Amino acid sequence: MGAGTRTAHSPRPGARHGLRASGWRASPRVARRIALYAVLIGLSFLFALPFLWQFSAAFKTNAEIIQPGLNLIPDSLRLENFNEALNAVPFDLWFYNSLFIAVLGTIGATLSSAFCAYGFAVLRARGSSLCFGLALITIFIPFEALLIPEFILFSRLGWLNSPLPLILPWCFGGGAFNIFLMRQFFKGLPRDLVDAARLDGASEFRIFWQIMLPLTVPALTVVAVFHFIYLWNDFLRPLVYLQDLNSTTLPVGLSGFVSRFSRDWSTLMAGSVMALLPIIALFAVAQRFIVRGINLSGIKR
Amino acid sequence: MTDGQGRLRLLSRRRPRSHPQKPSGKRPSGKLARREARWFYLFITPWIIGFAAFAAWPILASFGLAFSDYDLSGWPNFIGFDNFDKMTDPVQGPVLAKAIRNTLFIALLVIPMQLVFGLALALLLSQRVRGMPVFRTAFYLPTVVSGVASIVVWIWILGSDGLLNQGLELLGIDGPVWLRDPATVKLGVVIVMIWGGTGGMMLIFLAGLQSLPAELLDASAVDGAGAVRRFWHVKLPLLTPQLFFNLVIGIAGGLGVFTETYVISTDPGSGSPANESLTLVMYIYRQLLQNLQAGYASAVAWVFTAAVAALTAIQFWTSRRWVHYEYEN
Amino acid sequence: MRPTFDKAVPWRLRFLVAIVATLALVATACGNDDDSDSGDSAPPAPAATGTAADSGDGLSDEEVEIRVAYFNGAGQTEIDFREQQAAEFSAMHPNVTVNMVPVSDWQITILPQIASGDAPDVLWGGTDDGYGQMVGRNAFRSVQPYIDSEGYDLSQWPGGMLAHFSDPDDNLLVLPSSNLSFNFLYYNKNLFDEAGLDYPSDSWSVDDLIDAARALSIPDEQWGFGFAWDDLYQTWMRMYGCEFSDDPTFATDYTYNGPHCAEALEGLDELSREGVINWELGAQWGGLAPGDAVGESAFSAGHVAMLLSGTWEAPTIADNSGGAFEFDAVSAPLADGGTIQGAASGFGVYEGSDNPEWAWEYVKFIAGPEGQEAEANEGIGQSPIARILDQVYCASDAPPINKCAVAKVGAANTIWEPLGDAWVPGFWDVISPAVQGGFTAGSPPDWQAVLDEAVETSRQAAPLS
Repeated sequence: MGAGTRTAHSPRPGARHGLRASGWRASPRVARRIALYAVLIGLSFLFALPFLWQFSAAFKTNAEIIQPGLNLIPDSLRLENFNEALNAVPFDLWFYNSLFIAVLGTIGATLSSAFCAYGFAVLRARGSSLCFGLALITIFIPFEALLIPEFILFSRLGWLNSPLPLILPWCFGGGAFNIFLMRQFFKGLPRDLVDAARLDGASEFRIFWQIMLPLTVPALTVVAVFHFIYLWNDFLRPLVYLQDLNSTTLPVGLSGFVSRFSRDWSTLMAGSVMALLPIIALFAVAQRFIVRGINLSGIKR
Repeated sequence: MTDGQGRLRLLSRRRPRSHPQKPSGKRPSGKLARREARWFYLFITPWIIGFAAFAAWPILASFGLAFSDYDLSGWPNFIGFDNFDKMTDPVQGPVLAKAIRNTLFIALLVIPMQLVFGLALALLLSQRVRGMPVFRTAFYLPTVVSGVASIVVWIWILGSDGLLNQGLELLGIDGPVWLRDPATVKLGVVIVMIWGGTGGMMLIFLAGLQSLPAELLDASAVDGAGAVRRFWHVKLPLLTPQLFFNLVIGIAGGLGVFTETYVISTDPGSGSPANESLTLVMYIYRQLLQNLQAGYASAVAWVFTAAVAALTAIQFWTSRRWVHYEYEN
Repeated sequence: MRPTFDKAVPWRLRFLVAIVATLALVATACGNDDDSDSGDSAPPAPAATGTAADSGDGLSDEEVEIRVAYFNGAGQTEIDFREQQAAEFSAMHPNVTVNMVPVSDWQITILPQIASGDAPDVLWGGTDDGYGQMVGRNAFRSVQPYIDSEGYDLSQWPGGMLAHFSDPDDNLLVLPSSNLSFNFLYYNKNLFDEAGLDYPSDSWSVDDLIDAARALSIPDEQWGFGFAWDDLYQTWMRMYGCEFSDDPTFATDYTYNGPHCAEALEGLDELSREGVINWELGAQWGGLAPGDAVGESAFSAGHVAMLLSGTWEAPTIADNSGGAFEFDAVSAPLADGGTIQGAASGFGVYEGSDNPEWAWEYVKFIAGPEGQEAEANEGIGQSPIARILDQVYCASDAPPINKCAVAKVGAANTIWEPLGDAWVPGFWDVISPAVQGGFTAGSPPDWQAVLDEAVETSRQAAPLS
């Protein structure tokens, strides 16, 4: 992935050796290791417990769910719960809406931020640092402050209950943070590439699209994964813009589900598990990108 | 989460003395420069539009609306400081005050605990643990899926006979109906938020810990410094950038709490029981959409924004004293 | 596209275009409010004036699309039913496409759309879900001109209900199609049998209810009486004869500190301090505790002898109790001058609709007697028309068996939520915290003083006239 990783990742050959040689004596060391693993296993079980319970409850009957005790293994795999969740509410529609918004919003944000970031990273112009400074400031403006005028804008445009308010803003710059991240990657790429291409007479578009962008695929992936997760979990925006049941997303639909099926735990758990699965699957596949993203953007010396 | 990293980068760029801005090549002049400038503005045009439409305009409009009676129809009328007076009148005053108190209560509990637990988990995981990715996933997954779908299960866990109370019963404690009891509903929210936010902070600390200079740790070990001393005098000072970053996003997230309280309210978004789970953002949301008081909601939103901005500014200002970006040789 | 940008347009021009586009976007946001003030204008003559495409009944044959927004409380069952209705209508009128929009959080969804001047052609209106606010914002076009010119027969509807859905000049705004009562007293027959008590009856007084509730309470184990959800203390106040406003429809003043109001709350406070009522019941028996479930789950689990709830709760109770006990219901007793709190709803035509004639046509189709009968057969809503009550509900074996009788009792002295924008912030936002504060206070408060203070606050915060 080029220079971008080189500067940020910097494996430390000395690190392993250093820790090993840090002067711990043998027997307390073994005891400590055991204690360490016990604590870690206990804590990670606690953190995972809500998920484990949720997944097992999705296969239980209501009566089994409210039984006291942990009972992580259901008596029988009751698949009807999933059927009931699908039949009780327009679940498939919500799922589709969520996917539609998350996919298009992610594409818009990723491409648009890469496009703008190329300008900020590679091209020089008067006013460039002023614009970049302004972009930085917007990162610190809480979304809640922008919500009301944004809502008025979109409601006046007649865009309530349409996915546009959730997708379109991302197509204009893709969020200052993403521009940031992409700019760092572009800065890490060898500048000679650009200069050489210019000498060959390539236009800036061409340089961006055919030469630079392919080199930033790892960075694009990081941005895309984070953004997809963000959009999939987003609650306040769809809650405000997508109120009717045909156009809303999974989180908003599920939140209404909670009060509608307030005693029907098995259906609710089955529904929420179906809403969790895509994001968990994405996390499983893309975990290394997430960790890399954190490491790359990490505060480095 | 995404935001977070942006800020992260920002911090590292804000090191004027150690990293002066260096032009990466010879600055071209004349016609070439103008051509490049044109391209620059062409490339950032999407951002300019986005900035104007979704940042600059909303901020200005929201400021104007705060002094208006706008109710989403017709034209806004200028009403001076009426909206700000309304914040302390006998009807809205107590409710808004409660929303602010609730928000502060939650933020003041959640932020330090997320920081401490996140740091503790990172320290444990940095001990060259076998199977580290598995543990890391277990701690971080709640942050990734922190949405409605994972919060609903907490309504059960925090219920009368839920997992938490079953656990407390083993200790001989008779737990409350967490989310229905005005006295404990906020604690319930705090528990959910700690579960959901610790993993993200842990990952940041872990990244910092793994890039600590081994020589320095070795040196302090050779000096005979104990684990505790090493933590306070060597590791923690070196982790202050991560601490600072987590604090900045933690405060923004803690004060902006919405989803958790919205979902766990007995009647979603109602702030029940007895408005004890009503938070500031939920209050703004209700004023805007339930009462259509866009003008008043804007005024409250501006107060909120000013508070977050002031806190962020204070953090940046004080950070010079306690955040160490460079380690000494 | 690369060459086009490369040379053809000077960059300043391109930049200018970008700025103009931005400004245009901003300008759109500020303008576009022409629909908002048109509420006072008289509705145009009903039947479309003879365009070339007119069919015999005065309705145009042109292709039209009408959007119909309705409150969705029954999930997918109701969605399927409504879609089927729309398909039937389109089969009869092939030039009309009906787009059904289910909405679960009605006010939050529809009020902003009305404010922005772009709402569906047919709007649901429910007295407990922002109907008053919708009228306050002139959301409905009166259907009276259509009724008058067509001679549409409204004689089957209860008169009081039609009055509630009309403007002060008696022009009908919404055709009511459902009326739910909150005064439904469910009781667990098994618990009554065990205690050797007679079942509740329509001749019960409020005191009978309180005596039975005390007799049926076992401390921390069984509660004699419960509310399905917290706000039903208001139904309880109405049972005693408390009047919340000077006029039940077009209120001009708050009067919920008047005769019998404090008395009702004093009695309730006493019962809850004795442990006859528990406000936090639901969560203990597997209910998520939100909304309706609060008391229902406790009742379904067999821990509550009598439950005040809505007419719609019976199937839920039957499901959730799983036949563990037998239950039935009567209309809750009323003191002298007591009233029943109802929740009525129907459909009307959106003021800004481009196709009001077709919208009215669709309103008649779903909210008229045939539509109500179809709904009744589907088990959705509850028709206010006596004939349908007799033929459908009273003929049904579905529990509780006397649902139809209760509905008829309710029709006479039923009261609905007053209209206007100010009612929700003035009444709900003030009385609920005040009452909640009273119940949770360490010792019983002076309820008259609590209500007096709340009414003062209401008058200040949201004057009604």
